[in-house]
Amino acid sequence: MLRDITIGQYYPVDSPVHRLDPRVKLAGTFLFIISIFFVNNAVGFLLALAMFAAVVKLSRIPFSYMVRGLKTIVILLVFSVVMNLFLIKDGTVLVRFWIITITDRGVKNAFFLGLRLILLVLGSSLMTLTTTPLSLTDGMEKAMRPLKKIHIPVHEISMMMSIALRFIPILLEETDKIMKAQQARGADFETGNLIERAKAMVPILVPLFISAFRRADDLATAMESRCYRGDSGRTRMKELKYTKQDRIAYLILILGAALLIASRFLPLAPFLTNTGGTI
Amino acid sequence: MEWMLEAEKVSYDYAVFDENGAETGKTRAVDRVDLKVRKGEFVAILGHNGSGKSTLARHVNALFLPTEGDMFVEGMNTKDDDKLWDIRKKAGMVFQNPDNQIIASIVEEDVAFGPENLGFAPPKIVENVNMGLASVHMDEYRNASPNKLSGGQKQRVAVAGILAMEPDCIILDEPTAMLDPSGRREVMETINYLNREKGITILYITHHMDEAAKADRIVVMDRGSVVLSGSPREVFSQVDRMKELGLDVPQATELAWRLRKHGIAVRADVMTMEEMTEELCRLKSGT
Amino acid sequence: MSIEVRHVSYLYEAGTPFELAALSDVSFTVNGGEFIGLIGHTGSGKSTLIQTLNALLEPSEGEVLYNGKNIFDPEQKSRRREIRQKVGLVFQYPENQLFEMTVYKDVAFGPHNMKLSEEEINERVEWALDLVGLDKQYYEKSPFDLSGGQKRRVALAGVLAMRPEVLILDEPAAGLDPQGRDELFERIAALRDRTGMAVILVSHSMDDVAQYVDRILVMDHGKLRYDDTPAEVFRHRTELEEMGLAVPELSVLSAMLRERGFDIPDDILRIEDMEEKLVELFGKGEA
Repeated sequence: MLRDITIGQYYPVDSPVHRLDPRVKLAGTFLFIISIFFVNNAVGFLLALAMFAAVVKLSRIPFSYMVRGLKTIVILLVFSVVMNLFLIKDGTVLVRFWIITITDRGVKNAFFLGLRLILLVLGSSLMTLTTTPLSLTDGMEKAMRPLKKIHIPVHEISMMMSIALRFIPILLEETDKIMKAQQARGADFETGNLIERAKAMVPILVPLFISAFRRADDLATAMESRCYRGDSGRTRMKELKYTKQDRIAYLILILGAALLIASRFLPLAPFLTNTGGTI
Repeated sequence: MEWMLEAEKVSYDYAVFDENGAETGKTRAVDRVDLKVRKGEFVAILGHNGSGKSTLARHVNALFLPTEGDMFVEGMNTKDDDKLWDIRKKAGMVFQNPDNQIIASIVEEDVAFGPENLGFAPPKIVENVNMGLASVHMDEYRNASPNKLSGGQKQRVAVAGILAMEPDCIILDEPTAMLDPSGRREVMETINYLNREKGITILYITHHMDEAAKADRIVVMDRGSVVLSGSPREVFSQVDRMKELGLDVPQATELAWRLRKHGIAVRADVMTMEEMTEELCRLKSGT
Repeated sequence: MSIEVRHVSYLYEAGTPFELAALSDVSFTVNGGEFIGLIGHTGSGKSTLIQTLNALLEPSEGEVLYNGKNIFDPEQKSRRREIRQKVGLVFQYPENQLFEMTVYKDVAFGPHNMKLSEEEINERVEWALDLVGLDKQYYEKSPFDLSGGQKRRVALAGVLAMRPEVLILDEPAAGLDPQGRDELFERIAALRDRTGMAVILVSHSMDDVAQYVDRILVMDHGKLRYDDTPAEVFRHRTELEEMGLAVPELSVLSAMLRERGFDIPDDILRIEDMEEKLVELFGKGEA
């Protein structure tokens, strides 16, 4: 079950999206997220979905694989949708039952919010699926280079991130193993109240932390023995350089974002727009 | 320069701490070790857990500096700060846990990590990565995630990462301890190939006697000191001594030792069951 | 006591393109007091198999019966926890699950989960620690201050303290040096004699388990390929080698000697027995 988490996991195939400069993908994701917040009507969402679908298609990542990444946010998704559905009381009442009131505004809000969340998560996971963590952090490092002047340890931060990404799957697998081992000793993670369940986590967390520290120590030694000494004098196998494709991608991105933002100003029937505040 | 490595009276003390983190004393992990390794030699260091073999190995890579004595790598003293990176480049190290030494999430990016740190030009890095992966037969996995590889494959990637730094010597610290038999075989074959075909000096730490048997020379450590040294035949035929040290000898050698105690005159230094069979046939036809 | 495995299959990621049959149609029975070796290459399905025996993984098809009752009975979910106590499972590198402040408390974790009385818990913890050879002076020590071999014994005691009727050990000697390995196997054999529990040793090495067990199960690609006495299983040398498994060296020796006209039985698995047989053939002190 823990292996189902696809966020942050690189999907190794070759595609035009995979080959793009990581900085383009970073900027693209950023633009996409911002545009999604501007979109407030059905046409805009359809447009966003269509654009996203086109990029997914281009990236050669199976759509079903992408959707699996949503599993991790199901609770958040259900929670926000339900909150909107039940707590928004203005608008035309559609259902009234016991203490539950559902209005058309609530339905609309819940629907748009759900869609927005899904697009946000899928959009950012598309970036991590198509970019190796190392090149992603390389991209970040290069994009954030100006920050170095104000003594922000840009290289160290990006190195930490790429190592974290490398070890997330390993630690997840380890958690699975430790859980099974403690279950074999009769540990019970499924029943009991909140406090009992929290206490039941101790036999998992202690071994997990110990192992994480040991791994960190081993890794530091291994890096040192491979002549790692921070950023000084370090070169890259693949120096980041913008190609023609990257420049075209930037153009398409800006155009797409402009379209999405523009969709906000379409004169549409009120039932297609979501003007109320969302939670 | 004839010697790849020279340890001269190397000693190393670990500080011992009490529960509050105050230093209470020292434990000697390596005790006045003299060891010289020729260029191109394949030396196995055998010893049980805690015999000091790993501590000694880390001196070669300047991860540890001797408390007393000196360690030289191609004539460079590991205590010489200016030579630190040259030493680590010349003598690369492969560790026990395959997962905890792979830094990148893609095989080829990991192999490139060492040369990148050394500041090689990008085309040279690409060339070395290709060479490293080809030498360990992992070219087809260059874009794979290390998490999808078997233990033996991960260790081969680790070896490729060292090779890409153009070392003269590779130190392997129990590289097969966490592997299954086929993984162990893969690593041994790779090491043999690098030693025989590429002339790379190998210092191989292990407690598997069958792996040590492939070396040119075996050095046995116990309580921080070198207690036995010689060709595999010479070392293994001292069955009493090896048993005393808590180490295995090849089963054929042990059987020979047992038979000789009964006055059956097989050679003491047989190492394989094939040799044992020949010996027994020789005796049978002799009677 | 009996565990009956009936036509068990297990699919990983069933219904996806990554579907993989880890077990296919495996059937066998384990009876009280048996000493069994479960052998197979990495990925042969042995780890999956032992997890179904201990109710951690529910098979996709088939059933597992403990004393005639289905352990995955959907009506009897609480039975699974009961089974986990009856069928003790010691995972590979079990010392990685230690978490308590003291050895004593860690071993008490299992009995504590069984909601036993304080007295009963104390009695079991002491019994279990005694079985693995750790006396009172270790009770209040932190498990993290012990040596690797001692940690492993604490972890083993943690499972024994639940008083299982079957003990399954997955690669119990992984990472131990020769002395540690021999000691551990001797200890397991001894505690089996003392408690009469059935023991299943899971390993990819024939050499390690052959001399201890009465019966060997060989897994390959999710299928149970052999289920027989060691001597019987080792007759299939070619087939085993195709599965990536090596036959014990002594079996190889006796096969070679028989080919050369020696009168040697094919069920010799201990070096002492081989010594005795050869001394008998060659006579004492003739040289």
